[in-house]
Amino acid sequence: MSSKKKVITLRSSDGEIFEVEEAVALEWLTIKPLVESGCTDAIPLPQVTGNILAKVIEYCKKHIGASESEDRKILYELESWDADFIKVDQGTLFDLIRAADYLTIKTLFEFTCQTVADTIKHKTIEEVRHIFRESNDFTPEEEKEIRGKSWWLQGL
Amino acid sequence: MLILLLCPFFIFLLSLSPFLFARSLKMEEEEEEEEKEAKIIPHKEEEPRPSLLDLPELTLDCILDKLSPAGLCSMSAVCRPMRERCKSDRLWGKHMDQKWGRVVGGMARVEWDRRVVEPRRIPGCLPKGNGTSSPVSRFWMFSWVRQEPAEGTKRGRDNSLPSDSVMALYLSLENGNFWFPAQVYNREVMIGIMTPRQSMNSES
Repeated sequence: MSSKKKVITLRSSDGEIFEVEEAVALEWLTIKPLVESGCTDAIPLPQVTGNILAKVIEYCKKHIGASESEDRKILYELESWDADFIKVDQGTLFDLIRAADYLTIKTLFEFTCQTVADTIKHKTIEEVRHIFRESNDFTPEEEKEIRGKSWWLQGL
Repeated sequence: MLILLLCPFFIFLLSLSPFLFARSLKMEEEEEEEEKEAKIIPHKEEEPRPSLLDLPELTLDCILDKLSPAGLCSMSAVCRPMRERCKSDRLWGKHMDQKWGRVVGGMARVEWDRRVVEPRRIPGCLPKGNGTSSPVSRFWMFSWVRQEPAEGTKRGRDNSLPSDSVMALYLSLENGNFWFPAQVYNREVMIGIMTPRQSMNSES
């Protein structure tokens, strides 16, 4: 009789209201107990802003059910969709990581962390410093000593 | 008379003036260019990019956990706080097990510890009693272990990388500073050797 899917209301830190299907919200372990208890009020998420929450919902909606699929075509499409989804600036990427961590969304957390790790791969020390705005606080002697410790660092 | 004497000097100065003037102009231009460059660079740097160290500790650990040994090594050379994170035994323990876990057994670790504790000891045979024929890991046996003094022990002071850390051991193995000849006991190879002999015996 009731074919209508149950909808959960969420409120971001900036007061924006979002509605998601119960199945999507159940993937977020932080709010899972609240959803399961049948909470009908808007669930406040004080650590996630509206624009980031919108991205998180977009990702989870796309992934729900599709990740478990064994159809190669679906998985390939999902992979290319992910690649487009993550083409964001560094600030947004870090906010997505924090949101995934706060809401305990394992797939999104792993994916975003892997994206950062991939950014670091094959970069020189100077490039990493530039990308992540890390300042070099080693003395020239210390840096020379550190670089001399491993052949990996010889050419970097 | 004096005027007549000074005249050639003035003429000489006048002939030089274009060069002097041109040089001063060039210097001014260079200064202007330098100023322009100095103005451009800070403008480029103003892009608000967050630092990795702004992320929660566990999150950063999760990212570092996904790096290869080479990636981890280069991250450890970025800055001091990052180096502290990157030299964690937990992160390197995983790589150690993956690459050297089947080769470096308990005895090799004991030997490594001995080298670290007693850095001046001359590298050579294992002390008697350890039993050169005792297996040190599932597949390997050590006849003797040698090692060039580790980076940390060689210098005597190395606050940035403690020589007893897994990272120090890993890098020493990679650099060839800590090495050991070993004999492999591969069951499949042994079977391969034994089978013809067994068949010959059985025939005779």
